Amino acid sequence: MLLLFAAPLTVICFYSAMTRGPYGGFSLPWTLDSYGRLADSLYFAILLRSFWIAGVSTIFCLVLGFPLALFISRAGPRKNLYLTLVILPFWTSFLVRTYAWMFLLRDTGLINTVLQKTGLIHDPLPLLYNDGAVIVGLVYGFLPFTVLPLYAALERLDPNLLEAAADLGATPWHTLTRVVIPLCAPGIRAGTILVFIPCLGAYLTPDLLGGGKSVMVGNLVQNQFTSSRDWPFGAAISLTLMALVMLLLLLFMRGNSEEGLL
Amino acid sequence: MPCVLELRDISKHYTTQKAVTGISLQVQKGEFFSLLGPSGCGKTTTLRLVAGFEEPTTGEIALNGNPIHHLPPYHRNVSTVFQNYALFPHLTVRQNVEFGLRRRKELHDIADRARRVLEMVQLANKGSRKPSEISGGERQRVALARSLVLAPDVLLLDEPLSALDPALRKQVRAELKSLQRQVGITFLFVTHDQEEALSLSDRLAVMNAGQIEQLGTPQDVYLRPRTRFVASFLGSVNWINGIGVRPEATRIVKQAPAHRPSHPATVEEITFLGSLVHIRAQLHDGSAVTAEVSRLNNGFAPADDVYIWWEPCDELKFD
Amino acid sequence: MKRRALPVYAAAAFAFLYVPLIVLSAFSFNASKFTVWEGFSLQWYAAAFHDPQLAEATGNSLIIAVVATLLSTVIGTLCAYGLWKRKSPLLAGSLYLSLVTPEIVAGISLLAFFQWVFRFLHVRLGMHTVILAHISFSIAYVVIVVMARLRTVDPKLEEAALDLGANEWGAFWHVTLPAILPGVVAAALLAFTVSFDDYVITSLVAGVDSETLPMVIYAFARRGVNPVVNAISALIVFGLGVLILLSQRLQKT
Repeated sequence: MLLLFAAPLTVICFYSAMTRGPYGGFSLPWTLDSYGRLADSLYFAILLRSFWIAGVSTIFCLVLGFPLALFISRAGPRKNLYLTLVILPFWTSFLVRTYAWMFLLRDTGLINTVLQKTGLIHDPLPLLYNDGAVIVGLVYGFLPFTVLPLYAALERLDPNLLEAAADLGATPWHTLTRVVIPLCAPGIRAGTILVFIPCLGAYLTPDLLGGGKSVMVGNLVQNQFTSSRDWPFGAAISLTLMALVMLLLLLFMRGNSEEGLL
Repeated sequence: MPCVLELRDISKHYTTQKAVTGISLQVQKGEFFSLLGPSGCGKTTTLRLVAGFEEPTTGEIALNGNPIHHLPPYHRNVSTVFQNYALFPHLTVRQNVEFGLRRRKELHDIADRARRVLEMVQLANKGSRKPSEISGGERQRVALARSLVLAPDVLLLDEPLSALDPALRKQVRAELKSLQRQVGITFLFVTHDQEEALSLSDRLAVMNAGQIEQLGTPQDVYLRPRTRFVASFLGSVNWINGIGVRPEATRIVKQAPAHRPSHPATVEEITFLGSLVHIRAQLHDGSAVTAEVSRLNNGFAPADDVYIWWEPCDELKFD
Repeated sequence: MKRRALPVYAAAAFAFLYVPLIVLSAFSFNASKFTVWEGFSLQWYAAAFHDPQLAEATGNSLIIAVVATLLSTVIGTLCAYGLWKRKSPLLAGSLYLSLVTPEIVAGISLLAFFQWVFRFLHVRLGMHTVILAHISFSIAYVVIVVMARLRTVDPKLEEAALDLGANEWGAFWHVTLPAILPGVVAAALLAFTVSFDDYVITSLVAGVDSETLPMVIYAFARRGVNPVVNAISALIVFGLGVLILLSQRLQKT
């Protein structure tokens, strides 16, 4: 039984080791200066951009994911097949899937080649290496994470409610917007956490699809630990990020009592 | 008869509630002993304390004179038949029965012993089936066989009949009783059904709110209940001016009996129950009594004027 | 209007999810390295198989994945079992933490931890650090899968086992483990996939001699599009896809 506690506690140890970082780290003076640097407009802009990109990606995931979840919940016996189809891409290599979008979006990539060949455009569109590409990549990566909770919420919906709404005179659209969507709130909340938080801390997607032009918090941290060799600052950013993540989780968990994963 | 199981002042208290308090009883060898009571009375907790799934807060449990209350379940020579049978789904019927023997490393004759006990419960031909492939009644017999093959000093049964169809229950009840007589093992039986307890037991303990209210033979507890709770749990009671009389002892006649005190009443409702008829009558002070008569003796109709009387020996008196 | 629109939309959504991968795989068979189809060819696959750097990296990835999977499955299963028998907010909390932490944060904190430990032991970054790192993030996934399976097991079965003479370990080994085995295997497959594919954490804690396949792919991808990457990608997607399908199948038994 001791084994059970030892392993994940080492995980916690890793994080506590990190706290030494912002307080000097390699040169002993323990200071909180690193945190102050975060407020510097350059870094703050990166933080803002991260929120912006994560937010837009989350919204897209929710909007695009909902009709798909709706479709699956009405699909009868093929539900499990569709669910597996949705989850399958996620579990095959994230790296490969991000690379796939590089392949599609670059100047000599498939999309531009097709558009040029069919004469719709002359010069290639700059589809890669910008915020948009990063958002596309993130949405592509995390779409299943809104589909699943939304599907779960829809499944829990009592069909009698829909019949009651129709009986009282609601059109299908009305029923959808006034009854179904509000009742899916827990699913929407779960989907939001599951997408927003990983997007906030994304590293690979902005790195590959954003080039150097779309720097997010994750890239900034990585930077400090490799080229900039400013571990204390990197640690400070990470802890701030973790604090934000915890805060978001707490806010959202208030609404959901069924986080019964563990 | 020697005492095979003794509980001395057993209590089990959790932080939030007192499950049982001050339980003391002795079960004789070969006895069919029941714990009877409503849900929450502590009868299952008592059983689990004997089995070893809980440790008592205070008190001692002795098996054949040896204290066992600190031993884990696998070191006690008692075996439990669970309410939902708890058969291992990944093992066949035979493998389920052999499980305990294998754990004890008693591998000699193991196939033979398993076969014999399966024959005893009439399941010899279903040895290679899985639990999911047999009926509820058959699963119960497998659970019995699995425990009996280990020859425990006491067999503990936790409401074994409650998961069965009502139609099946009476039949299985009779089979259980004859099995116990045949094998001679001491049974400790837990139930909330008073008919079961009365028909099966040599002796029983009536429990309520964690304590034993009365311990005795079925006749003792039914005819001479010591508390109001025991009286009303084991059957219906009519309360007339603070005196309790059972419906079957409540006599109802059209004319006042001579040389006996009686109470005038008016018939309100007659309920036909097949072989019996329940006559509800209202006394002049407003209280109602129910008299139980055989349908052959029913000459009454609603609004009849009648007289209620009873034999003094049928009065229920409490401590 | 809703009747027709929804299935059409769903088809489009599924297309969105799968087309990039299909296109990628299709072009791995392209005879030319440009995004213009010039004929079917297996040359990129041949190039991939003959590249020594790739071979070594794949070997490393496999070794790491197998070892990490074995250990994290055992630890994770025991963790899930422990949580099933007794609630532990500390354990559940730390597992949640490991799931929620962004990879980059987990990576750097592991790096910082290792460097700190290395002051006392004379070790450097290498395969062992990667394996340890992989184990630490895989455990939570294993726990989730095994826990889901444990919830379908009747706790009275273990009591029955104890009653019949098995001790606590015997009850687990003879009764509970057989019941959850498909879930354990499914979890192992999942752990393997997660480990094999990891880039972010691995790149931070790997030493000079422990390049993994994702690291090589990343390097290639950074330099621009390379059909060899398409070939490797197609193989990975296919391979991992099969593993995940198996895992899903097992979880449903």
